[in-house]
Amino acid sequence: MDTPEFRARLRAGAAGAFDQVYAHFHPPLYRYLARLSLDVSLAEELLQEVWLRFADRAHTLPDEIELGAWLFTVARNLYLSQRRREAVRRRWLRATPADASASGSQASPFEALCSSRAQLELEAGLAALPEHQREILILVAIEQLSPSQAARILEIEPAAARKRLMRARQLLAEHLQHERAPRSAKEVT
Amino acid sequence: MEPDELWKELSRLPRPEPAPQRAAEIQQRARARFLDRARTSSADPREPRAERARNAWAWFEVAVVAGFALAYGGWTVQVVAQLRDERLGRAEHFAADAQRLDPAE
Repeated sequence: MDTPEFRARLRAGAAGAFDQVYAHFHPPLYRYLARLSLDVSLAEELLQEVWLRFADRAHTLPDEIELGAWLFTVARNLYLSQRRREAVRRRWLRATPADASASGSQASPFEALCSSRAQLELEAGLAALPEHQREILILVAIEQLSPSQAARILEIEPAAARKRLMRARQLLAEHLQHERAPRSAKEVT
Repeated sequence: MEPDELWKELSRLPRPEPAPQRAAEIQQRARARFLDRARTSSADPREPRAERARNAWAWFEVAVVAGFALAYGGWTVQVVAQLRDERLGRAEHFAADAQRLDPAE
């Protein structure tokens, strides 16, 4: 998809090329945004904006820009802007902590799709992680991007991405251990 | 859970597809805009943004150099003219002295 021939087709406005990019990147972008925002409808809303931006820029994107990294970066930036807007709105409304927690659930939107208890715990653990650690795990461990691709999307150095990934994995493991400890204690008694 | 095991479990998490109807709606909308932009850009080929930025910078440099030339060019001409006048003035002065002291007179 990043070949010069394909990019030339895209620049020329070939509908087939657009459809190919859409079919390839729409599902992972959806999962990324849904797991990041913990909100499926917000993910769909942001996703529409991602594709409209792509439609605007596809003809002028230079060949050296990787399509996948560009799309994920746009998705991330839109999500961050939305979060900032939401924070300002809350400040203006002087929302109480109760209001703030009511507006967004802290559970993963995909918990209902988990087929085992381990998956459910993992999905919940992922949702409980701080956002910047959650997103690197989503990109690398779930969507199978390389750490250097993730670093480009997150606009950090590859070494920093690897460090963040390690820390996120550690935190998730600790969270799972913490969640399982009381349960196994209960099972023993 | 071991780190490798955790990694495997993460990669096995559900990978749901977005709702087909909503996905189709978004695709249709974005594709219509993509085709529209393609039509407009082929009818009105504009310079790419980087090219425009380079041109703007080049014009800015030209303007700065011209500004300096105008500001200091006038001043330089003035100084040169003053020096020339001084030299000529001195030369005339020496010529007059030489005439006055000419023993032949």
